[in-house]
Amino acid sequence: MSRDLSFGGVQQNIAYYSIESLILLVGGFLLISFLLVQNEFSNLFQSSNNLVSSGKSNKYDIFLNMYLWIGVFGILSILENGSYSVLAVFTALLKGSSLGLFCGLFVGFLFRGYYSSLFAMIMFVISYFLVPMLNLSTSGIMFFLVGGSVLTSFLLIQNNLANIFSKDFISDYRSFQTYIGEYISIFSIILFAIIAFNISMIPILSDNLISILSIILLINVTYWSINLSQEQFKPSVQQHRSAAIVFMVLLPLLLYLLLRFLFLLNHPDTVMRNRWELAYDFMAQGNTFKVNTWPFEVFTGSDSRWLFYKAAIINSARVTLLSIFLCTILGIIVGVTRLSSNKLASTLATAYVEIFRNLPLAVLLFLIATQIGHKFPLFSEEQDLFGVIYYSNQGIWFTTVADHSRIFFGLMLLGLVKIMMRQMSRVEPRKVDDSKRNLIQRPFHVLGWKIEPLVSDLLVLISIFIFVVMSYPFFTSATGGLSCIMGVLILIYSLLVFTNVDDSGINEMVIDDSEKGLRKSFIIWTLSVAVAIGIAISSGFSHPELIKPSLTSTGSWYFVEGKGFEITPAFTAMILGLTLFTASVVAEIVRGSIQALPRGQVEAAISLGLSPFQRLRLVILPQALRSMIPLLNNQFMNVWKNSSLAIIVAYNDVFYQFLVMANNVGKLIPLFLLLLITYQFGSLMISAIMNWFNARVTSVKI
Amino acid sequence: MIQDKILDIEQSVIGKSSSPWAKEGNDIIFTYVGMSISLIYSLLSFNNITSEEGTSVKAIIFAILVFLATFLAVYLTVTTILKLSFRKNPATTLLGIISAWIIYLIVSGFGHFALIDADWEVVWANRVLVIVGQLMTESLTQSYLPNQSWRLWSVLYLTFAVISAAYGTTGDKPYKFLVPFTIFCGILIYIAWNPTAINYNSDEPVMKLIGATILSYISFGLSYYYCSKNEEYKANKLRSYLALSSVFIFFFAVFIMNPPEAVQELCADIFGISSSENIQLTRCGGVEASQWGGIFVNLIVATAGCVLGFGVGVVLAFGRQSELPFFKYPSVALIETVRSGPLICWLYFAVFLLPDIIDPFMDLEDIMRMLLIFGLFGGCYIAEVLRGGLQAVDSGQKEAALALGLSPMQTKLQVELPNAVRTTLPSIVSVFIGLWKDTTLLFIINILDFFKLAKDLPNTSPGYLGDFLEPLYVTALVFWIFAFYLSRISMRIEKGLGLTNEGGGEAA
Repeated sequence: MSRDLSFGGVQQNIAYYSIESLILLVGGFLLISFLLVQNEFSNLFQSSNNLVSSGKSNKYDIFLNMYLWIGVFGILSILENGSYSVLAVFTALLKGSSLGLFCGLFVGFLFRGYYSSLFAMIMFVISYFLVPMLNLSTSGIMFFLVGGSVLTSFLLIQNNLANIFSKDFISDYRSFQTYIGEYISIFSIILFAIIAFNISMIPILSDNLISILSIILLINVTYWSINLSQEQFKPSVQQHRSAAIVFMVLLPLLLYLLLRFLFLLNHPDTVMRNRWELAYDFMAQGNTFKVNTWPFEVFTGSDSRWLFYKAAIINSARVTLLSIFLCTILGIIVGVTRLSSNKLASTLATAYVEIFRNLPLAVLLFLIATQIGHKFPLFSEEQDLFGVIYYSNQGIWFTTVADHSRIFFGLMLLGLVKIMMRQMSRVEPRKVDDSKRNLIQRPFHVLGWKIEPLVSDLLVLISIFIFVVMSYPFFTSATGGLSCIMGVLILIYSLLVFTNVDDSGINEMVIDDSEKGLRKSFIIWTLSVAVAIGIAISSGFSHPELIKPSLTSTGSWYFVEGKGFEITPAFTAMILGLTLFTASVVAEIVRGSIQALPRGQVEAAISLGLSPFQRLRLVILPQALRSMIPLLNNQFMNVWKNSSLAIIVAYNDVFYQFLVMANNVGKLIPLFLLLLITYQFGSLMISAIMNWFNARVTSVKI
Repeated sequence: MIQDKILDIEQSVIGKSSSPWAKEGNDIIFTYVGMSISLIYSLLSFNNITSEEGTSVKAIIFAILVFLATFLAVYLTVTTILKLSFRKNPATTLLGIISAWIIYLIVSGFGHFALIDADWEVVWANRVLVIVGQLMTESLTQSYLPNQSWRLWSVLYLTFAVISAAYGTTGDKPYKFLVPFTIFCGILIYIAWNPTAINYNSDEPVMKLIGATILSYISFGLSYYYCSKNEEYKANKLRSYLALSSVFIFFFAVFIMNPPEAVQELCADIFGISSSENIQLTRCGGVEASQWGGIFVNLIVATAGCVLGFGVGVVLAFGRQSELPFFKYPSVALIETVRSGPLICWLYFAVFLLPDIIDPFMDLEDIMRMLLIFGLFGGCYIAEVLRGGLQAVDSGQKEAALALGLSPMQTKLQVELPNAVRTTLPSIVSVFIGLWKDTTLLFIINILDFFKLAKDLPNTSPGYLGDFLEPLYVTALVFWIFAFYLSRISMRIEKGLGLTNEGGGEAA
């Protein structure tokens, strides 16, 4: 079939789509719009319980389950495809499930008697298979596409397709007066078909196609808006026709956007096509610019762009996570200080909040980065604190322990001590909820109230260990994605078991807060922290080593790799900026939540003789947390999005990577979509974790 | 009497005395001892500073500030030790002393920068540039360019008139508006008044600013008189007209700065400029959007975010609420897509990809596309806020509207929307504040906004090389002032509506 679509002497199909794909895309778009406006498909998605009332037998209900159609066709399509790479499976799933959706809708419309939607689907199928075979003239095809969309909007607003197939109309077709609308619809369809075949013989129409169709559209819009403003129809019809008239008004814009996107996706100019073509093969090629990432270091030339992107995501994530952690702490301190009776401190906290909340983050980051460059000593005049921390405007170098895994072991020891302390203060529960007593949700329930919580605590600790060990390669090297996912799953499962045990009420504890008990726990904690520190530093320290090949030229100086611990100025500036800014908002949230608590809570705590710190930790904050978390969730997502401002301080985050890659390869749209997906995914992760936490906090009713 | 007051203040900061020697009666003696020790120490530091930094006015101010901060910090610390206040309530004492020392650190560190180190000349000399941009500044001082500043002045006049008329409708005491406003205008006039710069005729802007001030007084007086003489519903009508006219000012500003070519030609015909001349070099020419600059750009882009954003937001919020899938799904898709990415993603989208899409329609300049994208971005956030408000509208309201025979459209626009806006107005204002702060991101895509111009100021003259920090602090201050002002308005609205028990909006 010819891809030539010249019209009025001008080639209209410069992107050279075949006629089939043009009809598929434009027709598909029109079909989707038709179904959306007609709004009959949503009935098909309702649960099958409603089907019984429609009078059909239950035997065939299974064919009317849309999800089944989509699922079966999706799986069939994956199996038929045979290739199991992520992208191929995804594409196959998409194709299969849309085919499944189509077939399911078709069957559903047929059996439920939604004839207008059915008619649209049949028309789509007919035009897709028949029109390429009919050898229409080029202007005929133009008319078919553009005029077809006008006809679609016209039929939508007429809203009487279903009546044409009804028994009333067929038996009583002679009463012209009653069925004038239906006759107009039929007439317009027939007229459309006739013109599509014979348009070459009507030069007036074929020469001024667009203007004539626009006039028709305009007349229709005017007529129907006058008609609609008189409100003479039933509310449901009125609503449907309002949607249809909006579609009619938007039709030129929508068609323009559709055709423009189609054009851009297959642009004849190579540069433009490069920019818009949705293909990700360039990501597998080697990258050509240098970035500064940690802990996963990537190298120019040898590593692919995917790896660079992964390293950048890790970079973004660590700046976000650390800022979230710090801004929560700072925000709670400032928020509580604002409410303190100490006038000086509360004024200072208010000033902090008002100053940082109203500063633009971009200016703040720029200011901090410049200030660091100004205030910190030059590299040649580097200074140190006690020989442990070296700082200059090139970065901060710490002395650190030689073996970082020892720190982890120390922390594990502390976790073990915590579990032991919990076990010691555990008492027999008064009421146990045994509704979740199965092997998956509570695998250790046979062990009884004394041992089961202990085992579930230990399970969490062990799975943290497993998670760290299994995900370590993912964060430091090119591979390890699968084992990282496994680690995450194990961690999630252990947390699930832990929360189930907790929810069942067998995790009841009585904490000994008498003088003697406090002293005992203090001694235990001091000892175990000392032991943990001992474990951490048992392998010795690692000092930053500055090498000065030429004493006069500071450009030749460098620190030895792997010795000490470096924080770059960009990272410092990012952390400072994000933390200071977000902490001011978090402080407001904390203040608002605390102020929303009933006054009686604080008074009761005072009358119980709790100290101010105990009041805060045991009574106020746990209750304020309930209203804080949803708002904090929002702010944490903002931190994640604001981390994109790293470009201001030249920190190599996702957005920076996107920008440099876009400059290098010019693949703007694929990269842009990737970027949006990355940010959306991060937001969803934060939101999921916070929602889980929220559910935990609010599960206790007060 | 004074002794009691001093003790009260001291106890509120560092807590009560708990030593065996400082009791109710002789408490004050220890305070005096602490004060005198502190006084000696801070006088020493005062002396130190004046001997180090000289005795210029700035150095003296700095020395006084440090003297006060040192006095406070040392006095509190010494008194705490003398009275052992930390024994009874360590948290309060610690907070008080830490705050005092933080204040000392800030005053001595930032004060030293602001009063001794900094050379504010770099910003002061370029203040016209950062307010109106490069081309306007040049046209003020150079004769080869037509003076286009009247375009900005007309916008300023209208804005002042509408804002002061809006204040007239609030029903506050007149001095509450007039005093701050007069001070504000005084500062503006001081900024405009510059006898030193070459070729710069400072009389003109000063006279025009005085004119604008008088115009605002008149419009304030008129609307105040109108509202006090008439019924409440008439005042409300005036308020809605004022809201509409602020929307009109936005479109007027975009129009008057760069009128369409047909208007330019018509204007040239009227003023008798022959067609052989380049129309861009005459007064009828208009200023191309690429030549806009300074804080004007921030203001117009932020306003676009508010005005267009509110329109887009209302449409999307109702779309998302709708039962019809044709409205619902596209709105959800648009809102979620736009909200998924940070703003700078969308700015890059607007610069690099939007032209591809709208190219055959119209060839927009960067700033125009920024107006559109800020409108879209702000709209999606406002839609989410409004959705919360719409969901909170009492269903009785809708039913009552239906019972009165209002059409669905009327119900939405005249019943649901006002209810939703009322409850969510504080959140909407906070979205506006966010948009205002986000206009600083325009510098990333090389639009000559306030921030971009300010941070490049050190490069304007060899004398300013290295003065990076001063323009940045000024930028921060300017943006802070506007945002702070908006946040006060938001608090005022919140208070005026009495929304504490209604909910609906986000509390953040």
